[in-house]
Amino acid sequence: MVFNLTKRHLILSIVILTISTRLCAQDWNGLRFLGHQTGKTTFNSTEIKDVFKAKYTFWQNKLPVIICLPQSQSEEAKEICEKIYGKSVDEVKKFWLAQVFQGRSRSPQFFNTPEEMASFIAKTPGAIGVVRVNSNMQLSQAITLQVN
Amino acid sequence: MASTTDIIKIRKTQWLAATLVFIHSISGMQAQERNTQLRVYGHLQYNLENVDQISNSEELHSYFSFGEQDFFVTSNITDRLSFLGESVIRYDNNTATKFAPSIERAQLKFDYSGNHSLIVGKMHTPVNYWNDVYHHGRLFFPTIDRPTSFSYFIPLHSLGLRLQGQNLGHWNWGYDVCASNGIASTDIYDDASSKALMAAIHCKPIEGLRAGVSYFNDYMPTNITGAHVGHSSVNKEYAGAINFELMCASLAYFGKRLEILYEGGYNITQTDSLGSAENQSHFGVIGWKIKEKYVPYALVDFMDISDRELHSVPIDVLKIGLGFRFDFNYQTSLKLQVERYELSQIHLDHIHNQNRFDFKVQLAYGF
Repeated sequence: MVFNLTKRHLILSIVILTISTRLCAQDWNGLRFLGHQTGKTTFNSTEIKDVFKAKYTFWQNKLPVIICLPQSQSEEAKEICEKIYGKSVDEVKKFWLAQVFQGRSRSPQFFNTPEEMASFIAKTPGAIGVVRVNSNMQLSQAITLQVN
Repeated sequence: MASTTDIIKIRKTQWLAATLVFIHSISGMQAQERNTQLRVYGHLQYNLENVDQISNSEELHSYFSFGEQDFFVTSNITDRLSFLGESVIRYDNNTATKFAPSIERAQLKFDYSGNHSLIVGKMHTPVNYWNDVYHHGRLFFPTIDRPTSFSYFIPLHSLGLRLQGQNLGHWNWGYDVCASNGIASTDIYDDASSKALMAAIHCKPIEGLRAGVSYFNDYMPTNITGAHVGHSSVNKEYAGAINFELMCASLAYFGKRLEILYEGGYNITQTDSLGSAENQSHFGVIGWKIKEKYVPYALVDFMDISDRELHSVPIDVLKIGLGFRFDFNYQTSLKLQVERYELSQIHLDHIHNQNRFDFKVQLAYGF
């Protein structure tokens, strides 16, 4: 009986440890990345920044890269721009304005709320976006990406 | 045999599935509706000059000017096909309304593989950083005016085909290869059977830095400038054939604080009359960003066109200036610039000199 309780506790501990590790790996610098059919579900920090800086036109699965960002007036815009681009919100907006003006990139999609962004990503193959970890929303595990 | 209850359940399931498919398709259509965008760019300017540019007499001129209004449209037609159009309306004294429209860019881009694309249509010839990046958007210009060479020997536009690659490899290499109607062509016809050819390569080894070189060649059976060249200072007294070569080098760095842009051009024109003429231009601007929005800068713009030149006109220009740029936000910027402008030109067998000071203020916007 004692042995069975110990074994049950051990299994439960392993499960809890695995879940908490996975949650920590999904959160990068206070941000969580969402993606749908991006060809891969795990990125390193350099790769994820390259994606958001318009380095890639297509994923490896041939789907177009569709960048999703918060609207400049949203609460998380400033934090996301600083952590991913190292720039202010205005500088990021001008970066994308210039990219599209040069004909080198397609315009990102901008969203007022994380829920809107998640909903768009869930139904758009190739879309990738970013939200703050403390966003009060239930995120589908199917679209959450892992960044190391 | 299925019972009535089973049939009702099946029908309900089928109805629900059909509804879900319909809602999904509408959502997809709404997502596609986001893909066509129209933007407008423009500028307004104030100028103060101490020399009359026509009579070359010392007179103070103070005036406002209405800049180009740029209508910019993009559309994602499919996942791999997109359209870009840029139409400009500018002042033109030769029209009844005093304004004339112009299609500056109209191109279809096909992303055929990864970061490689095929572009067809009218485009800005990617001979240097400025023409490839800034186009007609004064909002993006680091200074008030373009380099002087743009008015004399830079082939601004090309109508044809372009192979483009970008962000390739560790140093983010890019390339452009163009075959297009020549300098003497119009938007609907080119008298020359040979096409203008251009090849350019650049790299972006660190964030904010881009370095590149290009080569452009065009054989013009007659010395005229059509719709593409952008420069009007053509030698109308020479109508013979010209072989036109241009080599450009660009270095651009726009960092957190430091901003540097250098554009160099080396142009060789070859005629049977006078042989080779070698022309060169050097444009440099250096700025320092203060608190993100404020950028004081200094510029030098030098151009030397040979006395043997027959395509353009023999002229030497030196412009040095100091400026200040204030970016209200990403959509509006104000630039103030004071310049010393010196020009020396051979005209009707005598040397025509013009030295003047200019003060300019430009408000550029985009939305």
